[in-house]
Amino acid sequence: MTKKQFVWLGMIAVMSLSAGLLVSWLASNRIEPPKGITSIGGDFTLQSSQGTVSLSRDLGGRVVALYFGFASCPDVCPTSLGIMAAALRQLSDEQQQQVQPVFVSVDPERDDVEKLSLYADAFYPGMLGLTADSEVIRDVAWRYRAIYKKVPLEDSAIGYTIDHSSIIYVIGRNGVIQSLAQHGTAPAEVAAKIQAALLST
Amino acid sequence: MAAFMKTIFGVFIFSLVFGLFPVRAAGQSSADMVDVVTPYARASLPGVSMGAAFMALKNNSGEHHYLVSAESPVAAATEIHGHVMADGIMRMRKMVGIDLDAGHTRLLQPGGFHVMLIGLKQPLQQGQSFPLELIYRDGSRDKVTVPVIGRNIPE
Ligand SMILES: [Cu+2]
Repeated sequence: MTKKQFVWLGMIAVMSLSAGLLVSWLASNRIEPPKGITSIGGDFTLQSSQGTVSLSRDLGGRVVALYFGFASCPDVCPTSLGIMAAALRQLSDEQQQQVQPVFVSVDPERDDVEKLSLYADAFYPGMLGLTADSEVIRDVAWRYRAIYKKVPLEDSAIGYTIDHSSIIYVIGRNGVIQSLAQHGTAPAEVAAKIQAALLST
Repeated sequence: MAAFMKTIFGVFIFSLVFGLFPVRAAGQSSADMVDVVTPYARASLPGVSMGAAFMALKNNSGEHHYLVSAESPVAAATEIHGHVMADGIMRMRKMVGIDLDAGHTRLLQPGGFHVMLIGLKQPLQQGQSFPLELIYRDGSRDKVTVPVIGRNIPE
């Protein structure tokens, strides 16, 4: 090995070492993304019978169990909200106080806030029944990837129905979705997801 | 000859009277052959004038039967609805009817088929019950009493 080669080798060694150090320094100083599913969800501001309710301002610090549906849904929404309520009842009183169940109606045409307040409360005392103008609802539903579509039923006395996804969103205290419970998830499993969110956020 | 005619006539009368039974047995009405098991509806929710009745329809016969409609005095309209879950989307549609296959039990249950009560005249209250008539394609009817149960979902 010549002297020149030795110098080169030394320079390469120093450079790779500093590159490695830089990478590990960047990794350790990386800003941690908030825990949870950050690609969907986010803050929302909707209307209740008591006034405006914002996730970050009014519900922050609590775990939120959120469901999109409509009050005249005869079966799917009541089943899901019943499951949500049953899941909450499986938690201790102390835990229940740290959870806010929320029902959002995607049918502002038929559901006003007064009706929604009574409706939600019938499943679980304190469950919020929220809605808003259809544009606001469309935006929030889009951000949560909650799908709904008004479908006229021509030969039916109900006039129209709403095809919709049926998912319980478990949102952590940090306002970030922690987990999803697909339609038909058993109360115990929903309770476990809520408990996990209580512990991890 | 007269005696012969008398015998023939007698046989005719005999078959007319007793023959009716096997004839009936071969083509009994749907209402006779379908058992309506454990009907129920959940208490209605405040401000909501929609309800749904659920049950099991047990076809005890070797023939196919077909439920076409339902009637109840508690609602402005009573329809048969079904749900289809596809790609995570729940779709409820009015059904032309429900097939009741020979020897099978068809469940009307949450997330599937239901008898939809539209425009409830009064709220359905837990502990009460209401009359419901199921109408089959042959025109026969099953009169059913539907108890109203609470909203709580068992854990
Ligand atoms: Cu229906």
